[in-house]
Amino acid sequence: MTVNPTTGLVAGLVMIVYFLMAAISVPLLFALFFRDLVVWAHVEIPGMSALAAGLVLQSALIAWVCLLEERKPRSRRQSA
Amino acid sequence: MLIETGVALALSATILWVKAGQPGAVNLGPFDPAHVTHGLSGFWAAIILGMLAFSGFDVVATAAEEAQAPRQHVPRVLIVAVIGVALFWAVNAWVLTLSAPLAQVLEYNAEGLTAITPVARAYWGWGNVLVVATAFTGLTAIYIASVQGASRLIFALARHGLLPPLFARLKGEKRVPKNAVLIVVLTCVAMGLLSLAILHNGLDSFIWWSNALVFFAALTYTGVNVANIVYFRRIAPAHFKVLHNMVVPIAGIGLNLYLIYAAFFSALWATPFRTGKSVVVICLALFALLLVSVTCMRLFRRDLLTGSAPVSVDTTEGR
Repeated sequence: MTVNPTTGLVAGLVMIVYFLMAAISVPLLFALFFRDLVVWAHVEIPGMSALAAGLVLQSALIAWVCLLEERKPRSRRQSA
Repeated sequence: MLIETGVALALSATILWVKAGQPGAVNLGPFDPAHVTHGLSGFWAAIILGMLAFSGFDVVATAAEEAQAPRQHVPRVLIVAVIGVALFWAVNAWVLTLSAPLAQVLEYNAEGLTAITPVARAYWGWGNVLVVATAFTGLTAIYIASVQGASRLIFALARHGLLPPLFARLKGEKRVPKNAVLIVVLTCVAMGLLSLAILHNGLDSFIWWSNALVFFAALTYTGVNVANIVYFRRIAPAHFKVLHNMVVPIAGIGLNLYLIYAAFFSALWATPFRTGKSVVVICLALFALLLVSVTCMRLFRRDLLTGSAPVSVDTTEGR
């Protein structure tokens, strides 16, 4: 809104792409270290499978953590 | 964060301790510009990943509306964090360049490995699992911050009617934008798996997305600097300061535009299509697509671009 609404929308969309790409790159790096852990533990998993598993595992964990704060009150209500 | 920082510093201290016993092994050579691999082009290609180390701090500003007294603390925290991280990176990167010969690091990269784990194994043996554990906790924290930042932006645009209303819904007592969070995580999984399938190399996939995100980060920073000048000239002229609202943003705009030119259209364009040219082509195509979308919005739904930002949201427990 400082410059004009159209520029504001462009800025918003560019920022979404920027933050999305930042988010996409993180589980890929996690997957590389997950494969290192698999190698360290002498577990036989083909390279790409270990990477894919690491990526999916971390994303599932993050989705659970980010939505956990929403579920907490519901479980309290249920237990009450 | 203290544990992660401690592990990184402990590894650096171990490397320095071991290298100190070898004549000439500890030197300031990595700080000498004459030692830059592949000259100026190599420097600018490395700057992209250097900038990556700082990308993401701005997520804090996006989440400021959920913080207490953000105007007081957020700017101060950002500046302290940037200076602290710069010093941390400079010291640790210097030590890591001393830890292993360049040819060996290139060998690790060619195998799709991160260099830090084999380097840690060379100095700590099986204790290198500490580095892996540190990476896990650090990356998990970064992922949470990134998902929070991206989902809040999607929520903000949806709240304004500029994205589907599905993403503007808040759920539960904590008012979490569940749909926005889910679309961000699902996009991460889909794009991550897609890049692994195409590139068949985890390290190349990470570098590809890292290069791409720095392009959009530089565009964002340029926009922030432009907004700084315009805001204090047009909307808050009484608070205008020449240094803060003119000199610094103009320098910021110049640096970011030069970075885009030198790092992307020169250095990255000169590298193979797989992790170089393809980044430039796809980033430009994506940016063009954004501009076309905004133009369509301006032509066909101009009403959405007028009026002030909405303050109310749909908190119904929809599907």
